[in-house]
Amino acid sequence: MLVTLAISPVRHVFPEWKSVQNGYNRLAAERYRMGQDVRTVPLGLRQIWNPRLGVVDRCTTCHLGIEQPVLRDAAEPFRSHPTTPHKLGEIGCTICHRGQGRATTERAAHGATRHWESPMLPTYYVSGSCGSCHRERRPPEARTLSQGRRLIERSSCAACHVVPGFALDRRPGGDLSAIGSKVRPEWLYRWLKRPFDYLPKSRMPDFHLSDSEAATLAAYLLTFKNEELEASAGSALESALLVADPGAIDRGETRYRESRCISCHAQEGRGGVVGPDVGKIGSKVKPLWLDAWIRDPRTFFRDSTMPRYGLSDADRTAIVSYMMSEFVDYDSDPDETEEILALLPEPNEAVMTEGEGLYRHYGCGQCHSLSGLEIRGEFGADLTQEGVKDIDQLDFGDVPIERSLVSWLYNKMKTPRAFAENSKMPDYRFSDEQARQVTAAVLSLTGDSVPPRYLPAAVTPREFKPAGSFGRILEKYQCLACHRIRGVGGDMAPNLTREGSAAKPEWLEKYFTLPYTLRPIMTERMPDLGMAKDEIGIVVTYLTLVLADDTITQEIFSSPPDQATVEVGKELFYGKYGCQACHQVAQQGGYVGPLLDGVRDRLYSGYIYEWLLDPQRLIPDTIDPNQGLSPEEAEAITAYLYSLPPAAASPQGGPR
Amino acid sequence: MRLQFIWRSRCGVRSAIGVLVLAALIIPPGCGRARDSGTEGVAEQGSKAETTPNENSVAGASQETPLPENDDGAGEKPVAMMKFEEANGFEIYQRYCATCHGDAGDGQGFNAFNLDPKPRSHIDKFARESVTDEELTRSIALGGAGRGKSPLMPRWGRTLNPRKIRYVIAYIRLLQRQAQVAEAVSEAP
Repeated sequence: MLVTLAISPVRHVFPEWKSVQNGYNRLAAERYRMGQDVRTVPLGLRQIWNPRLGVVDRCTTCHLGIEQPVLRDAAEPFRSHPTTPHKLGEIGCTICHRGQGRATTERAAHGATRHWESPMLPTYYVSGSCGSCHRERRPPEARTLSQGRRLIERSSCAACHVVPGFALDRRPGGDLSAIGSKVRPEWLYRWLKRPFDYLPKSRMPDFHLSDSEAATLAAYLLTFKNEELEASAGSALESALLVADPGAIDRGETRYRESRCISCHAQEGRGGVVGPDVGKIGSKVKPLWLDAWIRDPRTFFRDSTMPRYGLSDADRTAIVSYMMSEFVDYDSDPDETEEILALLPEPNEAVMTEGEGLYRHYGCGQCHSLSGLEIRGEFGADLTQEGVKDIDQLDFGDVPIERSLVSWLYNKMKTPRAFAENSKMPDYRFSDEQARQVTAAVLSLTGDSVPPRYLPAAVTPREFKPAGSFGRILEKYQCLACHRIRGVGGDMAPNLTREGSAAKPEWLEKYFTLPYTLRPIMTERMPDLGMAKDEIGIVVTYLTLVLADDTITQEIFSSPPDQATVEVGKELFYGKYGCQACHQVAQQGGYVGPLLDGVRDRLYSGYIYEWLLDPQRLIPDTIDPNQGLSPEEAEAITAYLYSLPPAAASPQGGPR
Repeated sequence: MRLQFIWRSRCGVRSAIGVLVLAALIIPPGCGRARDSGTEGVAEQGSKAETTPNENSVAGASQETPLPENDDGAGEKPVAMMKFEEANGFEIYQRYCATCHGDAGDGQGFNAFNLDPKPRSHIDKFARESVTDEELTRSIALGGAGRGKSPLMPRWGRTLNPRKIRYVIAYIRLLQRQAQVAEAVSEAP
């Protein structure tokens, strides 16, 4: 008893942190003798106080070296903090790391305190905290968080859950209204059972359906047919598509390659990721549907991002024949197919009712649309504050895992139905790494915990929806699936925001007629979309008139530059700046940047000049380094580039 | 201050233990009772023992499952175990440096064979042992020409800010450690 009484006051005379600070002072003295600028500190509690953020962090009482870069190699708790974009002394520690900032003992501060609502995050997940303030999809310098948010986006979590910042403006899944005319019955059954067997990168998760559930749902869905396609079943076109002559298949292959389908659609895992893998599509779809789909993808799926190619009927059927004959699943077992077909029930009324019940039960309508069944609503949990959820609100079931939010979220991602038998959440087959990334991203959903003045200025969602004929062309060819204009679109192809000030109209016209690649190593290149002549005219006019930058003069040379300037430019190009490391001239030089032969036919001199001065001003994320050229140097190099003749060997400048 | 230091050195870090010793010295007859009623001390010890595995499991949530061998997410590489600076450096390195210096930092990027002189390897013995962070920073920021070497290495100082250069260096150091481990493994009998 006496001992107990004695302990309480004495503990405050010899607190833990004092011995830690003494330890730091010994380290500092040692480092100082080694010639490093590390000073000892007076003993005493230290804290970072930021009333606006509600931060009172005493962590620096022990972590004395966080702002001492030379202590990078010191042992904890004295190691320096890694470089970050933030001032540590301003925002404190717990904003990112969580934990109990006011505590002054290691145990209390670092967690393991019962009922302390925000225990410290494991270091790996700290990146999630960046997202509490940085609400944009890809906060720079927060890799884990960005990857996690990319997965949230890709997995369309917001189709079922409320995920702030991720609301979907369209259904992520396909329209199922013609599914019965689209796919083969055995494929649909297999797909519903095990989507990842057909597409290892399937965006549709695995719902772990039982055999009978999958059969009923398949039978139900197969009743949704497209009358037009059904009417032409058994027609000459269908048989021609199914049994094509070798000539048509060869032609189909050539057209398939020219159309650069592989830029978006992989074959057996190799190729683009914009559209689904088509390596086994011959075993999935019916030929008439594929033909109609390529003719106009948006008749079947309004939100498809696939371009409508200007292919002739013969070319299109050749492509379909080629795909149907070459892209088949050679592993499929005909006996198994028979078994599956036998398993599918007749779509009588009971099956239809049960099928619709399953469709509703598993929330298929959250992602897919189906004529006559417009169901969509809040289906999954609201995740607005999931990242700060109290442990007591989490259902751990009887799963023997650590009782923490991080561990719960991680395991939920790995095995979504682990915690409750009636859970409907499907399995996304996240790898361990992906599950951690999603967990970090979910941890960033902290509701309104951050005062508005600390939130970075909200990025207003961009709008670029040109009207009129250019708008229709943009829609038809889905240019923005690859190109970016004024902040909207994809990043697979060049940013066209200033294209009108960069490229000359004559070159653009030729390029649209016969696209080629400007960069020797690029695996993706502009597909031959088969644009009509008047369409090309409209696009070129629009680029020239609208997508122009008035700060860029078109031509900086009133007369051809003199030879002396060209020589100076050449010396600067090769000698001082080593541009040939990345750019090819006359088949000499690197593979990274575009070819520069005959660049005068392609680009305005004013654009080249501005580009040389500051590439990132024109295209913010270009990797071309700003080398700090003087205006005279930029002009001389422009003069040299303008003197380069077109490449002699191939008139179009590159391979097709 | 002085007294406290003596106490500290004699009693070790844990104040609870120190206090127990103190109590034992001051009230020797209470010794037996201290063992009976000293629940606080016991609890303290016990909970300390508990904390260790607990903390481990918190800090090692990443340990609950092993590092994936390869990640099937669109073209990612496993960087789970990278630290903050290294992971950011990885992104920058892949975008700006790997074309010439190679994914592994061995100077064998796909663009390397177009270059003369060849890009440096960051991971050979010389780079590992003799090139300081300051030298690396200067080479990256000023480029080859800025250090009296080949201009084929551009100056990145106007494109990458000092923080980003530090990230890249952290990643290069990671590549070096990996190379060192790989070498040690291959040299092992």
